[in-house]
Amino acid sequence: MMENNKNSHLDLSQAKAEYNQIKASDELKTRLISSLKNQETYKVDKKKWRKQWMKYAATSAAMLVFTIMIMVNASPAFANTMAGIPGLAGIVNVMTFGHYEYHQDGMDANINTAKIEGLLDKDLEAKINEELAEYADAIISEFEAEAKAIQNEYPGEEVHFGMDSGYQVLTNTKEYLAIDIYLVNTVGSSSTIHKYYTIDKRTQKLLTFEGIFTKNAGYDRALEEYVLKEMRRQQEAGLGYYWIDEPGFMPDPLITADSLFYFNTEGQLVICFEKYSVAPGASGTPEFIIPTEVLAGIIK
Amino acid sequence: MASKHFFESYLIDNFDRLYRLAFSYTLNREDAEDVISESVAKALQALHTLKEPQYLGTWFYRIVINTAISFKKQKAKVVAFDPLSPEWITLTHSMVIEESYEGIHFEDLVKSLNSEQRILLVLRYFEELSIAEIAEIVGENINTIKTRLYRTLRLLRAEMEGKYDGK
Repeated sequence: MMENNKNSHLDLSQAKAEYNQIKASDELKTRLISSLKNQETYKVDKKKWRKQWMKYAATSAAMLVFTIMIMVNASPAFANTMAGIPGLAGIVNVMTFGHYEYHQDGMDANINTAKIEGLLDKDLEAKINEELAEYADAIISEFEAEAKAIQNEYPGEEVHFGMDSGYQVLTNTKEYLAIDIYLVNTVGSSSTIHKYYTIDKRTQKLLTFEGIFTKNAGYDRALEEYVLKEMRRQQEAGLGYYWIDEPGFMPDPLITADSLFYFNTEGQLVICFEKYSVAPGASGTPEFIIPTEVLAGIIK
Repeated sequence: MASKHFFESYLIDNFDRLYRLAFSYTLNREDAEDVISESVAKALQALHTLKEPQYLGTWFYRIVINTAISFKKQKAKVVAFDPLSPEWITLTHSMVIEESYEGIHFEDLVKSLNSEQRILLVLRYFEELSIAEIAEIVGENINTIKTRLYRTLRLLRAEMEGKYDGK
């Protein structure tokens, strides 16, 4: 009430109209939106802050940090709503289970281990979590071995080498849980490796690429035809550049039984390609949403 | 859970709003651009911690404002607003301003208020957020926000009376 009263004294409508004329430059907008599509740029930004953080860290003795974090991130309100939907008693969460960090002599590691919780199939859940933990452990051992080798070879020198691994929840809907486990390996330029896990919550099954299609329906040819056509279209529209015209650059076959994929929040099938596999590094890891009409007759 | 794609479409739809918010804090194009870039990078890194996508807006506002605040602290010097700076002249010249209007112009918020005060007004009256939402974004309790808004309005009113009395 009092605020309304004050408002009548202070008319901010003109100030608001002027304020609304402030606009971001197209350059900034284009740059940031495309950096979202391109994991690479985002990694570069991240490195910049890490450097800033390093300055502070260097003053303290805490150069090696190893922590295990258990994050309680269940939301009771949301869980109750989900519980009210028949067949969806549990709420599936992905959380950071382990965290490993190392910053010294230009070598950086930042490894977050994901853990899935709330799947009805507890065996499947345990199996996936074990796999995630093993993968993270393998990365950590590899990093430590590499770091040691570098230190032995170049004692006291600053060598830039980094491993950054973590997860991203791509989809967590009633139908699907999809997570991307990424590993960015930086030695000079960087490479990225993705592993996707897609779980169909309705059947509580971990999906395999091959398994989502009807046998012998020729999904590989149908999808390859669509993806190539889409690459061509994007390239001609100036939206992307692919190795479609470079003989021998494209993987052959393009679509295999274990192609990278997930289902997005709209329930659409998304096919992904590793960095450098179908396009130059600057294109990052390309993704293609497959329209329903392409899937007709081939999907289960 | 908020996906990268969801964040991307949110960003596309709200880009100017977010930029405006950062600008009203920094009053400097370059700094506002840095604040937005850094906020996007931070958000991407933390996106998986956002459990309920409907709070993406509030959550990201919070990132932008915190980034703007720490950005200003990092710069360690308070850059005084200069109405003659080329940047400000370019901005105000591209604005359609009714000079004859004897009320509050955006420039008055710039001249009379500090960044913290201005951001509160922007969130409450331009972005039309509730006091509770602002409290959430700024990380203060509701009563603190009410008090600060009240003081800000009082200050602005006093400044405006001075402006038109004095002419």
